[in-house]
Amino acid sequence: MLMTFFKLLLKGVSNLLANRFEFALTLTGVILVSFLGLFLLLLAQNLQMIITQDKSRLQFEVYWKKDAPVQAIEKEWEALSGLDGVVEITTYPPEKGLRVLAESLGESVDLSWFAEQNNPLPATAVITFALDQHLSQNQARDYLKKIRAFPGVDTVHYNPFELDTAGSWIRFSRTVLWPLMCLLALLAGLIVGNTIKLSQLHFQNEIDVLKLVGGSRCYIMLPLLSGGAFLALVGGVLGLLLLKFTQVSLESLLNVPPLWLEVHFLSWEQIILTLCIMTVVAVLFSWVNIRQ
Amino acid sequence: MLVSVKKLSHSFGSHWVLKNISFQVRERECVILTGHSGAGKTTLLQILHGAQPIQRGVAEVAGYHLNKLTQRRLPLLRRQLGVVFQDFKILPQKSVGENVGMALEVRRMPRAQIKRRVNAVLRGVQMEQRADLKCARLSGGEQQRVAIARAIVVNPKILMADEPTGNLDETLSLRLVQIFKKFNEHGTTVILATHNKQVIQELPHSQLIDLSTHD
Repeated sequence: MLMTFFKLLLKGVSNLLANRFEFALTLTGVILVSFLGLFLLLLAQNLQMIITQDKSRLQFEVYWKKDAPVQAIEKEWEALSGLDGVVEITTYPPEKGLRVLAESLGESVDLSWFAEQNNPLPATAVITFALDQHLSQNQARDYLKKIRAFPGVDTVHYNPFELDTAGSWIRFSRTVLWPLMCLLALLAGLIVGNTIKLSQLHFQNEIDVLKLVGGSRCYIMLPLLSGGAFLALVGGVLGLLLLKFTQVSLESLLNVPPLWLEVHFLSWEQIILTLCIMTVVAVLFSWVNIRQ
Repeated sequence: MLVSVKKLSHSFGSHWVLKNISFQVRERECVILTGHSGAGKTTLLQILHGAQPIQRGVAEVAGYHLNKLTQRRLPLLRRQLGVVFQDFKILPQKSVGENVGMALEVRRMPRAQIKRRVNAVLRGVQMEQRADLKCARLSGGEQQRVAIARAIVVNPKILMADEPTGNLDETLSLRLVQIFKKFNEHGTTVILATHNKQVIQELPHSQLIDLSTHD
């Protein structure tokens, strides 16, 4: 029984390979469609990454009490950098703060007399937190509360507009990019399915004859389903290889000064999911084809 | 009774092709369905092998009640039958041997046995030398012989043929009728749809059903 099952599955593959020209044409179609769909998915995903990495962040300017001991401040900086959600922390001891201020004001202003004992600047730090996708006002309030909990901290400032901007980007990503990615996956699946369906039309006569001479549904269906799955799987893998090649080429083109744009490839989960979806869609369309 | 048809009617749109047809076929019997073009010979054969649904009436073939036959059980009925179609239903991209062997393959017969039986049947229809040739390269008459070989290779309980001598010359037609006769003598029930008078004369002991006279 199991032997017959595998024989029928193999029959589907051998049927495909027997018609090499049609197989090559269909395979090319499946590769190109899967490549195009995946390429658009790659673009959307990278755009999503740029948005979440660069835009959905919130910066806090933290000022320490003037009389707080330096060692205690350094300890607090260390503790702050270990907080959940911190992606970057830039610290400014008073002397560094003065130097940065002098540099920003230019040569016309001399702040050197502030050095040593007269430096009026407190120790400061700019802490960048990543905002998660379920952005809420509470998130900013939580971060603020955590920072204020440190005994040396005097005042904390953040720009509420930054929070609004991040919120807009996250909403954009949620309402446009994710649905777009799903739509692309669906579109690619439908085109792949239809390509396979069309390629199976020339088996229609064979299906008719097999039915007329008493072929069971299983005997007729299994080779066609396995052929469709094989075609989608091979086409999907080759489409992914083509996409990897394109991603490497794009990265070498974009990840250079002044752009420094990283192009990330799809994750393993996405790759496996893509192949699974393509195979399932192909099997589904083959099944519909036989039913019709 | 191997075949039992009662008050069978069939229409295509408003045109009734078959009207109140009733007949019975016993085992080992030879039946000739005759009648003018459009009398419903092909439709009746199609109904008998489950290619057309029953609209009115009752029919039973080889123990299968066609009115209640599900798609799942339809292949079981068809495995009892050998059918020669008017348009042959031959796959041009496959070889003669493959076309004939298909009917045995669906019955999961071992490959060696299939080859043996296919060769024997092809010898019977004088196509043995062409076993490896693609059917696309055959003439109409040769394709018809392949269709006949495919129908008889399964040793069917009932052999049905729709205008089996349509594309054959006189000699081959007679040879073919002899094949049907031989099968019938060996116990196979034969149902032929034809308007070829020569075929009717060659099978004098047959039950003749003239569909033109049915109302």
